Amino acid sequence: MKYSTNNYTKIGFAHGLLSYRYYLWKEFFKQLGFMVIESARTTTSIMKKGISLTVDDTCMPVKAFIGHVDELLSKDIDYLFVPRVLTIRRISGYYYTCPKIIALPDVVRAIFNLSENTTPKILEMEIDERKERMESRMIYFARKDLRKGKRDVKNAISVAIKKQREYEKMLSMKDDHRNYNLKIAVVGHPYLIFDDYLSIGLIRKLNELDVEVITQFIVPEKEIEKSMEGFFEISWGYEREILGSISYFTNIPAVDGIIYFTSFGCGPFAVLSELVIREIKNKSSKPIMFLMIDELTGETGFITRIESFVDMIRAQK
Amino acid sequence: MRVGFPHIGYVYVIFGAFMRALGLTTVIPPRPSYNSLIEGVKHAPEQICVPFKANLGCLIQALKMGVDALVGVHGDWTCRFGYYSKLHHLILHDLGYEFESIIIEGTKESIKNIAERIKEVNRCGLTKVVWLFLRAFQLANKKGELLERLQEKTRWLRPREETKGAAESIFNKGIEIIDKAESFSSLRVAKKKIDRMFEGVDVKEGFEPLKIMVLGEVYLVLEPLLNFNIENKLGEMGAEVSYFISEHRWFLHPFKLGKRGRYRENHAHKLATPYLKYNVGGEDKNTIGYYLIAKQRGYDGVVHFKPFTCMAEIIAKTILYRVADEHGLPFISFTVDEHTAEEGLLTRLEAFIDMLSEKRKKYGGIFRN
Repeated sequence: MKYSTNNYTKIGFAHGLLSYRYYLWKEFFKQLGFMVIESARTTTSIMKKGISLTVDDTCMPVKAFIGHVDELLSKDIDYLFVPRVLTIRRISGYYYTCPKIIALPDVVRAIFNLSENTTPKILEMEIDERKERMESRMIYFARKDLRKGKRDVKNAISVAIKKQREYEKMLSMKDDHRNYNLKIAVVGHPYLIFDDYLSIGLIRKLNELDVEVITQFIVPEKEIEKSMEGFFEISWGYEREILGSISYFTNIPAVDGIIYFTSFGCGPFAVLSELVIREIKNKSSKPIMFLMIDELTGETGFITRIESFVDMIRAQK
Repeated sequence: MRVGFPHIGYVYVIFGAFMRALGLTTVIPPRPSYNSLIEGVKHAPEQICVPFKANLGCLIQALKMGVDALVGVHGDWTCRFGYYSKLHHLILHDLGYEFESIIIEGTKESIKNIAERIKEVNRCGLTKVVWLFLRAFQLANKKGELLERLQEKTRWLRPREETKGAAESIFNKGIEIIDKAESFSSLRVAKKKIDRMFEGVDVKEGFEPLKIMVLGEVYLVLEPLLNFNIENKLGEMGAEVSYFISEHRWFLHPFKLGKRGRYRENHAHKLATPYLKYNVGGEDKNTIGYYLIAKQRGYDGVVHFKPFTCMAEIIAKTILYRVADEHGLPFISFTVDEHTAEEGLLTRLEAFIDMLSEKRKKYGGIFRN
C-alpha cells in the first residue's frame, strides 16, 4: 500500500497498548520529519468514550486505546498509526501476540468507519518477526510505502533504536534512590502497569507504603526463558514474559511478594492464573496476589487490597 | 484401553466411531447437562470461556465412569482452545483422578507417538496401522455425511411439520441408528431407514418459513445445552435454521478437508478478508464471512453466539456491527456463560423473530437496506 506524505503530514499516535513497549515507533516517525501528534494521558473522559464504543467484555486496555483514537480523530490528523504486531521474536523462538493486538487495525477501522477514502487513513505497519525483524520491517515500510530517502531512513532508525534502548533502560531501573524496607515485584502488561490512570497509581501507592517496586523488565530474557521450563508450551510472547518472570521472582530471596496485575477480560490471564496456582504456588511459599481491575474498580477498595497484602507480608517477616 | 473425550454437540457419533475403528474402547459420558456444567465451573479458572467449563464437567463424568486415558488436542494458537486439554488434564490430575493423558499435536513426534500406541493396542505392524487409520477415517467420514443429511432434513422439517414434535422424534431415533451402525453396510441400511422415516410425515403446504443462519463460536453453535436448543426453539417459532458449521465438517477440519464444497468456507474467508485480515482463533473469520454469505443467499436474519470473554468473537462482534451497517441483514448477538438464563434469551429471540416476520410482511419477502 502506498501513502502520499510530506513533511507537513500529521500522524496521530494513540497512547496505549504496545506504544508502552515500543518507544522506537514514535521516535522513528519524528526523525523521518513528520509531525507526530500524540494523544494525552488517559483520563476519565477518554475511558468513558472507549467504553461506549466497544463491545462490553473487551479488556480495559483496548477500551482505553479506542478512547485515545477517538480523541485523536478530533485533532485533525492525516494519518493514524495503528500497528499490527503478529509475532515477536524471543530467544527460544517466535511467538504470537494477543488476538486483540493482531486484529487492532481491523477493529479501529470497524469502530470508526474508516476506509481508504476517509481521512484520517490508517497507517498500518504489519510486523511479523517470523519473516523479518521489526527494525528491518520499519526500514522497508519507510522506503517502500512512505517513499523516504535511503539516508533519511538510515538516520532515523539508528536514532530510534538508541532511544528505544534508553527507554528500556529506564523501565528496568528504579527512579528514586530511597531506601525501602520491602520489595514487591509487580508483573503484568506494561500498558496497564505504567498507565497511571488504568493502574490507579499502583506503583505510586506502593511507594507511599514504603515498598520498593520492581517489574519484570529488570529480568534478563535469558533468565525468563530458563524459568519457563517445566510449563507446557505457551505461545503468547508477552505472556511467556509474565509467567517466566513470576516463576523467576519466586526463587529470588530479596523479593518479598509478587503482584500479578491484570485487567478483567484479559484472555490469556485465565490460562496463566491456573498455571500460577497449580504449578508455581505448590513449589514456593512466596506470597502471590492476582490484582484484577476493570473500569468500575473503586479506588478505596483497591487501596485496601494493596494495604492488606503489604501488611500481610510485613507480619510474615 | 478405555478412552474418554469431551462432548461437542453430536461429534461423539463421528469421533467415537473413529476411535473404535482404531481398536480402542470408547467411554462416552452422558450428554452435558446443567449439573455437569456446574461441576466444571467449580474447578475451572473463573475467567475462561464456557466451553472449557462444560468440557471439564464432561471429563469428570467420564472419569467417574472409569477411563484409562483421556484424549485431547494441543496447539500453539492464539486462541485459548489450544491450551484446553493440557489445562484440563493438569486440573484433573490435581483433583486426584488417575488417568493417562494422550495429547494430539500437529507435530511429527506426537503423530509418531500415537501410531506407536495404536500398534501396541492392536499388536500389529505399521502398515496395519495406516490401513486401520484410513478405514477409520472413511467410516467416520461416511457417518458424518449421514449425520449431516439427518440434521439438514430435520432442520427443513421442523417449521413445516403438521404434528408438533415429529421432527424431534425422528431426529432422536436417527441419531441412535447412526450411532449403532459400525460398518459400511450397516450405514447403507441406516441411510435407507432414515430416508424412509421422513417420507411419511405430514408437511404444511405452501408455507415459507423465515430463514435464519446461526453463527458464532463452534461449541455454542453445536451444543444444545449452551445454545438452549435454539434449533428446536426457532423451529417452533416457524423459522428454518441452518448452521454455518456441522459436526462432520468440524471433524474434517484438522485433516485440512471440508473447506471447499457447497458450504464454501474458503469463499467465506475471502469475503471476510477486507474486514478482518487474519483469522486470530475461534471462528471470527467464519462469523463475518458467513454473515455475508447469508446476505447473498437471501436469509432473513442471523443469530450470533459468543462465549463471555472469548477473545476472537469479541473482535468478530465489533466488526459485525460495521458489516451489518453496510449490508443491512439483521443480526442478534447472544453472550453466553454459565449464568445465562433461558427465559431472557428466549424473550429476546422471540422479539427478533417477530421483527423479522413483520419486516417480511411489509416488504413482501424481499429485503432492502
